[in-house]
Amino acid sequence: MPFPPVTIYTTKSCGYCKATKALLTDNKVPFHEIDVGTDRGKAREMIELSGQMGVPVIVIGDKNNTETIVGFNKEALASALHITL
Amino acid sequence: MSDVTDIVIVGYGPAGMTAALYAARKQLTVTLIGELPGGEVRNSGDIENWIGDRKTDGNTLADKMIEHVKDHSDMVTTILGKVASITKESPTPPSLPSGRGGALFVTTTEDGKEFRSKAVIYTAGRHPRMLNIPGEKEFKNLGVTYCATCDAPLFEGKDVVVIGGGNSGAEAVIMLQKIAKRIYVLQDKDQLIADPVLIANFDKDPKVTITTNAQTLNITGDTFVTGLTYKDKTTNIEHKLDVQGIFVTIGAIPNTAPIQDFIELDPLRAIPADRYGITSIPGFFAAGDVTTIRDAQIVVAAGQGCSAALSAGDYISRL
Repeated sequence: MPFPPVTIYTTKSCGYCKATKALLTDNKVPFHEIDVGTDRGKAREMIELSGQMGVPVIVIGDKNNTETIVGFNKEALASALHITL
Repeated sequence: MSDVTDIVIVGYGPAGMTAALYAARKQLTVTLIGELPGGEVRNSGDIENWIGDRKTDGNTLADKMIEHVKDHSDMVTTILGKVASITKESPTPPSLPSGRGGALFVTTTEDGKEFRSKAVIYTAGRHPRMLNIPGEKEFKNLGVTYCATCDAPLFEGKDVVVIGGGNSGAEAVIMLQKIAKRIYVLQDKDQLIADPVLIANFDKDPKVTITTNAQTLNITGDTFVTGLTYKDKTTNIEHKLDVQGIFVTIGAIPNTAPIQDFIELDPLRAIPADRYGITSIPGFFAAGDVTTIRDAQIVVAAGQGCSAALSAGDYISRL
């Protein structure tokens, strides 16, 4: 079953971001990464999307059905992707 | 009893991973349970005191440790999860290899899974201490952060305050020097207690203002943080700082909630353990920052993890 689009907002040094990416990679879930530490416009976008400033923010789904997850959260990722992690 | 592992290790940081490595090399089966692969070391930023690596960082070191443990995946099973409780099985099963029996430990995760083992090594680390002042909870992740390594890049060109004058605070200031416009450092004691080699990076930087004897009182804002009020303890005068970021680095609390009814803790909620990782409960060992350790250092946690694994191996061999 193909996965929905996954976007992850990160900073370079963020350990929770690395752990989240590793979890997705280990489970062969493709994702698009945006470094908000180097792109202020994208940082604003992340804050508007999630209503907060902490990284990582993971956005799963398309425009009609989007789920936004804040932080390293295995259960929320598994639920949004309908897989066992 | 194939569902029984020799050792359950709680905690996926340097102490737990070192314990797993030593146990695996002793041909002991291990179930390692932790929430964040790498543990708090991931939030360490630059690391220049891990012997053998002149300069590394928390993420790189964590990844190297994880890969090293993966080399022993025949002996070590890793579980991403949060431990809810640890108990001892009752009644005592009589079927351990020596025939003498011995109570098994039962480690239960928050999703209800149970893991039975002959011994436990508890290395769950610590979590950041909160200020417990008005406004802190409301503005968490809205300008208030406990992870400079994660969130500092989001405060480019902003005025920020770092609360706490220990090594974590100093490291946050160093990280923010390249990012923030102005950095206030508030310390409640009469001087910074960070290592001088760290303080030397910023104590003459004109954009860094260090204030000692400062008691933080409240955090204010609208959607995001806009200010912080503190009291100068020597004059009792209150001051307001207009800041958009607040980095809280005032120490850490041991992650002992799952075992608070299982083992006696010290007044700071740490596990009393000796230099071999031995606690008051036979078969239950502890290592790293979750113990009554003086030096919360990666190399010390790793060393303690080693000792605890060797102690656990010795304990199991006598069952």
